[in-house]
Amino acid sequence: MEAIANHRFTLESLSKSITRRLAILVNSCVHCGLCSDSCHYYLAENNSRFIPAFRTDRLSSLFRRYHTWLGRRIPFWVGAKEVDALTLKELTDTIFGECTMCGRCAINCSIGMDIGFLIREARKILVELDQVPRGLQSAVDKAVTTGNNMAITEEELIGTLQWLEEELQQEVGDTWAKIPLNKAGARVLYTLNPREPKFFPLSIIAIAKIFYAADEDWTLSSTNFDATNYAYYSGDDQAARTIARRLVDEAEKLGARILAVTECGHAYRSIRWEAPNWLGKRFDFQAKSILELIAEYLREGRIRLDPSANSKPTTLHDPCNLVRYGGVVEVQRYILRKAVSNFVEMHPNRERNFCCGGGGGLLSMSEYAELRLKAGRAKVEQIRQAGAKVVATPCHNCIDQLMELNKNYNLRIEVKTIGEIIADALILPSGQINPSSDYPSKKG
Amino acid sequence: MMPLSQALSLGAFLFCLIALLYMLLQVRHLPHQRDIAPPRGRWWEGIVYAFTKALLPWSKESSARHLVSYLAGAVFHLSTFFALFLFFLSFWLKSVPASLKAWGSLGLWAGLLCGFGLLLKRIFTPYLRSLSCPDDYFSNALVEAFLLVSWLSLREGNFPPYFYLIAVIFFIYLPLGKLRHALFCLYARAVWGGFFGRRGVLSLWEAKGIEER
Repeated sequence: MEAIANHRFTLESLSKSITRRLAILVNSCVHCGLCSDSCHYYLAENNSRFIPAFRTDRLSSLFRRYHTWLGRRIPFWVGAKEVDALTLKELTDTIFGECTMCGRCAINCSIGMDIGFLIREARKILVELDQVPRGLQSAVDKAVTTGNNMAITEEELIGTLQWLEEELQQEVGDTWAKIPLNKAGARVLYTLNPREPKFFPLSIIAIAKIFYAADEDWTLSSTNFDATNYAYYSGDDQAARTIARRLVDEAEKLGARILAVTECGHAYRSIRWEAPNWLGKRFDFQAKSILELIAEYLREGRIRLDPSANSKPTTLHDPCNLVRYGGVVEVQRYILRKAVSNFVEMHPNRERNFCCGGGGGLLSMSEYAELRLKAGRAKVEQIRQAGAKVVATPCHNCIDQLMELNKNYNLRIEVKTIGEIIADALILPSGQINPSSDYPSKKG
Repeated sequence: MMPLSQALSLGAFLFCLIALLYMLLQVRHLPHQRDIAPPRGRWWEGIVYAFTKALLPWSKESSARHLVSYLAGAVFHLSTFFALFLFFLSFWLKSVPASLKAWGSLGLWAGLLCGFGLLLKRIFTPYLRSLSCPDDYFSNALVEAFLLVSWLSLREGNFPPYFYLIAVIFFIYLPLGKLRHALFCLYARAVWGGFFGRRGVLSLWEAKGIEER
């Protein structure tokens, strides 16, 4: 009982920090239910608890209870609920375990409610109530205490990069090819998802090869290299600020003009769109997706591709945070049309694309893994209908989820980053087509 | 001198207006985080999109898939706006012109049928029922009552006291329950359009650029 009383007190004190946008949205939903089948969870489970409006109502019902005249006097009439009636476990399951904050319902809402925003606001409350699922909180804690979400030490990273540099030199046949580290004054500071050095080092080589071919002046940081920001997912703005500040400080310290974010949807969104708000300033450098840089190289003729090196039918999965919430919509299509000979769109696509189910930090919350894989069914159907053999996606979270879907639903596809596909089609400055195209699939 | 029912309805309307204005001011005074990041698209384009293209039945998957419900909702709302127009007109009109009677009745009946259909859908569709609270049913019924008395008034050719009494309940309840979305959904739509327009996701033109603006 004491815990519930504390939670109620916390909720009441949090109510002082209600923002304008939140207040508008919780007063707007008309419970029309038209959002239902825009959600991949609802499509997979056909259960009303997975309707986006039902999820947001968990938050709105609290708002109505404490902040509306009728809610205070006749709560049942307006569906207002007290924190003890909700049970925090249910709220946590709904807000963390049953939504990837993909925003597909927001694009489709008949009113125009950004439901992804509301879910994150609810997560912020759950942060205050200490209800963040352990796996997600652990990723945030690691990033805050060690500098990256996989606790990779500087020595480990340097060791991996040295090995990758040797590989790069062999592949391009040039002993001067480098993976520069901590280079002050470099034009581009490239950032990684820690999964790359840990599990997918070939995706780092792929980008290094592209930089090499484009003769880019670039660098990596040996300490502040992690582009991800799981605190964005958890709703912990304070931690998100700490994590984002490190990258910003690093880019400013090295004097980079461009901070290039690896192929990672939420990392791009965090640093490009959210970090200026968290830190209260515009940056002296440009935050760009690596895809935008690659498109520049292609347009300027700094790299050339041979699409015949990628002849298998290839489709594209649009990561929600990069596309729907990030606005990077056409760049990846422009690149893929130049890098593969048989590009097919899946439908729907672009900002209407279905979430794969791996966003929202769900991959780090093992307790919801079964539901996450079920929720990927809409994506599985899209891939099957596209008839592609290769699924390209510029996001490491999506890659992990798509690989699991591939295994669980026996899709028989290869899942690749766009960088890997380009590296396979790259015509090196020597005129040689990239020899690594004979490599077996990196992600199958 | 104004009849009591008319005076009461006017008072209720003023109450509604002041309450909504108060809510609007309350919301305007809440903390607001402006987007600091440089824009990729144009916020105003998103807002224009939100109030034009986004309203087309085929522009959103949700409305295209639930076309009947979406169109029923649209007719129900248009009919309500017409009933409100009649309410204001009633203070000046002594008798209803024949043309307004015919076309107005048609519009109000269409609204009534659509509203009733949506109410039935809410009652008999399990997923909608699970989403609904008494306020949802009452709000729908109240608007329908308003449409019904508006139609009856048109039929009779004048505006009887019960028309104004229903209007009193309608205006008093509007800021208290779900009907206040009349104010907030416009605001939410503008915020939605501005947000996604600024990020370059919503565009009035089909082709989006590959470069940042």
